[in-house]
Amino acid sequence: MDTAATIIAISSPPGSAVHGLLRLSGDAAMEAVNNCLESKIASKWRGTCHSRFIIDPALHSTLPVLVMSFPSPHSYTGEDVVEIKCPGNPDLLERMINRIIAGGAHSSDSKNNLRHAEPGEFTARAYWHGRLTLNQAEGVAAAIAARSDEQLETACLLLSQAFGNWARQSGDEITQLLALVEAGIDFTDQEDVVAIKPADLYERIVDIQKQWQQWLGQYSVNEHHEALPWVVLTGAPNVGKSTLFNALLGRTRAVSSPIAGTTRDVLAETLVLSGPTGPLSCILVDVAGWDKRTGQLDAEMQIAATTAVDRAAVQIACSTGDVQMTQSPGVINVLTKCDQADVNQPLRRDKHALMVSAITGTGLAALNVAIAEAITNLSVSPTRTAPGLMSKHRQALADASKGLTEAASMALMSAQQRQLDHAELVAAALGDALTAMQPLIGQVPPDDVLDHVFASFCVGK
Amino acid sequence: MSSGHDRSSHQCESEAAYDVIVIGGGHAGVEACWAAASVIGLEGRVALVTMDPSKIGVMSCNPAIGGLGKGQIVREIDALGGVMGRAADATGIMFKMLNTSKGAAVRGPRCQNDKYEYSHEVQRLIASRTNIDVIAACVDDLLVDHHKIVGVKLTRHDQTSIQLMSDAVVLTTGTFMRALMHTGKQQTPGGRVGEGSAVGIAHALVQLGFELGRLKTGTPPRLNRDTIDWDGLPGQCGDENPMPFSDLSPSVLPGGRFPTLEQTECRLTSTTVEMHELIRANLDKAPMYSGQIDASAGPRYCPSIEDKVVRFADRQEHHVFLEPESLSTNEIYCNGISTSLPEDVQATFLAMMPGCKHAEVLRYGYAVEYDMVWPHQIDSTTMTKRVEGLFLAGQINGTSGYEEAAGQGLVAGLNAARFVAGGREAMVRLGREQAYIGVMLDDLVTKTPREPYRMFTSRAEHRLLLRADNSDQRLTPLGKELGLVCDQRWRIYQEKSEAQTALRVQMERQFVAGKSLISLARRPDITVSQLCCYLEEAGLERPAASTMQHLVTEARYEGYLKRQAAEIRRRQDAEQRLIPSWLQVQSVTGLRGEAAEAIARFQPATLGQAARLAGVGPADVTLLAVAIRRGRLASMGSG
Repeated sequence: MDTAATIIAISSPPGSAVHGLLRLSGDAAMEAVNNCLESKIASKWRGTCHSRFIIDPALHSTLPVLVMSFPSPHSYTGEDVVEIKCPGNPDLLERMINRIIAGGAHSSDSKNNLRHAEPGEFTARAYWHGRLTLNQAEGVAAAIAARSDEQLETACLLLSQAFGNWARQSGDEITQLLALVEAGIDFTDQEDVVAIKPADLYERIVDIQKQWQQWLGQYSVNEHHEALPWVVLTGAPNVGKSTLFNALLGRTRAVSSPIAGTTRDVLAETLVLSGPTGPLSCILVDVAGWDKRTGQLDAEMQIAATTAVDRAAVQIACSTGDVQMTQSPGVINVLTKCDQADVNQPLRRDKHALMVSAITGTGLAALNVAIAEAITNLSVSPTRTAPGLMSKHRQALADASKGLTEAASMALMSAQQRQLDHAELVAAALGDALTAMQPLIGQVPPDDVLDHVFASFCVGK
Repeated sequence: MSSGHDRSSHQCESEAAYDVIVIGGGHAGVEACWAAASVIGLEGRVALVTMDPSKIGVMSCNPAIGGLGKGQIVREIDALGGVMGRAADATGIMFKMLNTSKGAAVRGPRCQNDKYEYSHEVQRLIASRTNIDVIAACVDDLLVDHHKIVGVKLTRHDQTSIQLMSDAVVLTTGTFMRALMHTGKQQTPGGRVGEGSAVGIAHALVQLGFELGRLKTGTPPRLNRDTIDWDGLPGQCGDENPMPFSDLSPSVLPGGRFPTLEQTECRLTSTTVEMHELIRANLDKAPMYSGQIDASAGPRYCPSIEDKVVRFADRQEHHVFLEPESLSTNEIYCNGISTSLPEDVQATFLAMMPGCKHAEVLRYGYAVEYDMVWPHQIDSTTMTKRVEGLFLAGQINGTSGYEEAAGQGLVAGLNAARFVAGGREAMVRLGREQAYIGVMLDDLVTKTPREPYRMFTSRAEHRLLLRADNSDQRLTPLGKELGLVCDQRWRIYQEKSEAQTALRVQMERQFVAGKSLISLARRPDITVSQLCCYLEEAGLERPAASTMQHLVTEARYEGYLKRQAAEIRRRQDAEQRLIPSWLQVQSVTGLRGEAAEAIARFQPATLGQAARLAGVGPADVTLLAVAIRRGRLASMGSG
């Protein structure tokens, strides 16, 4: 971890809320914030002031913000810390972070590098600067572990199964191209190795980039949804999930019918709840029922359902009382169809479950409150850092794309030739692209590249 | 005092003390004793123990030095005052820069050598060092006291025993540790034809608790030059203006003449479909396929001809380079057909190659398997973690190749000498951004090798920085500081640096059509000689082509080098942060099981090394960092 850099992250709970909070820590924190403020704060000044955040200098669009400055050493991390309180729109917070990072990057001094915080990094810094006691350090360690596992998981699943697969495929393709270029460098004294033709290399890189543009287009459409916490309805088929989905939304979206397995797809809608401090947004998701008997769901749908449940911030576990309910954090147990008479009376009085009828409206208000509470509690837990991760991932792709463009333009220059003119520079550019993709696909060690070479060519005299 | 063996049954006739003892006279052992002798100075004494002093510096396999990635290592050895480049220059019979059509970072100097002249030159250089004693003996045991090496026990050829005492011992066993050679079903103990096998050391290492592995390598048949029909076989010549490996060579070679020896050429023949069929029909007689060799996979980059015909079955032919092994003998090395098939099969298939119908086989190919020490048991200083003062270098660490061995040998000899004088803290590690030798040692201590390790330029993430042309800039000042570099070499380095600086200044001041020469140098369409001409036209002295080439390279890579420099700075913190020995990995809260296991096995020296272990993620490294700080604070609190 590069401890000299200044770090930034969204510190407010995920999803829409009245207020959002950005936090920066490090030597360049004040300078970086000042780059985006209409009225600047003085260096090492301690206090709170109102200012306007310049969202887009070209359009003169600004936003009222509250800036809180905590100079070193008397701050949470022991470094210079600046917090910006602003309206709690996830999109807006993302844009502000990107704007601050873009502004801070002008400084050429590497010590003043500005980047997204690693999981648990604010706390780790606090510890390193002696702002936490030894006892607290144990807790820090556990929190970092929990958060990083989450990060890994998110990196793997990344938004959807398809996106993750796509990122890995792109990574593999680039690794393969790099192997071909490397083969032309390290094994030119070998009989069998024919380096990739520059024209082919160019075409294959351009293909990757075309795909990326397509995906990034889709990605930004979904972005808003992805930044909000997911509340997923789970339960056996015909337990009434779709009816409850419609009732919570207050309108008909899911096709609900008394025939088991009617919901064949994942449905997602924005739901606005009244939270303890104001309105809260979340994504309400209805997935296909878990029906192992019928096998009606095709594999893709099953994967979509599993993915949705995996990334759920809150689960609403629905049942009609015929199964035992389990208690776990982030899960709200709901007994549906409580308006209907049922033979399993004893079980229906489960004190850990909410009794709800989507038809009569009984218990809906209580469920609303329970969901809002569960989402609010998320902010206490150190996990669920989806917005920061997403921005990081987008940045990763943008950086990787730069490397690809550079490699492609060099390949194009040698397009009429049999061999690349600057193979080592093309390799460097492709290597940069893979390095940039690390948050998405992990590290690609040089050995993997060599494996590709050995697998494809007869090398060695 | 405890040791691997019960020593009481043997009476030792004599005892001698040394500052550093080097076991083995191959390319690793030679650089180790040379570097140690440089560092400890004339007052100190270094012992070079070998079974046969006439075999010091022998080229066991390919009669060539350098190549892609390997040539860079030779240049680095030379920049640190080593032997290999000088010996190669003095005995080269064909010099060729590989990859000349590509950028400077991936060009690799290589030469064919007269293998007899090469070992003689190495022996001459070793003999020129008055503080090196060459001792002909076989090592019976390593003497260890409380996890510290104290000496070795030897048996001389007259069967008398001797104990050599020292706080630092460098082991370079090459292919000799419990070595077994295979040609078909025939098995002969020994690491090289006609030579023995080292058994005592292997036992001692096992007794000391080292985890040994077994590797396999092979060598091709040698043919009689006078029985080959050379007509029609295409030739391959060396460079018209060969570049020496060593900057010292032009001033120290006899008469200042480089190349010194008569230059020759290689010829090219090939395998045939008929030959492939014969090999396939006899696979059951190849030890690698019959299961007779119980070694791990052989190297993928240097497959035997058996491997090639199986793995690349669709190919009609494979190249075979016919390389002269010496100017004074008729031995021809068949590069490309390493094999361990029985002699009669070899004889039959060799005659199938164009030009070789009547070729006489001087020596058949064979495979050799040998013991190695899994390299996670050494640190990147080459000192073992288990026994203080015991250093390992070369094939014993699972590498392949003369250059790789020599690079490790140099580091081992250097650190052995520094350890004796200043303890653990005095030892030196070369970084991945400093040298290919650093990349190699870091790879060895952070990865589990699946085959003998060979250098490739693609292993170095800072390849654009680690070039043959700037090896002296990267390493000679360090070599001077460490005492590896002699005054003459230092002077040559300073002169070269001054010439480069002066040329840069000139190029910044001279303009052609409104552009400075230095900015023209960045353009790929401007050649080195064009730039030299511009200077001449301006009435200035024409610079040496190599000086101009260096400047052009720096100019063209400038942007990339800046980016790499930023990346290097970013990582520096982790690379320099040492993991203290008191840290109990099991007690670090939150580490994933896989990460804890890898860290416990490899015992990385720095956080940077830890991060490169398979199974260790960025979060695990953060946890380690936190645990280290916490431990420090706790000890400060209690102390």
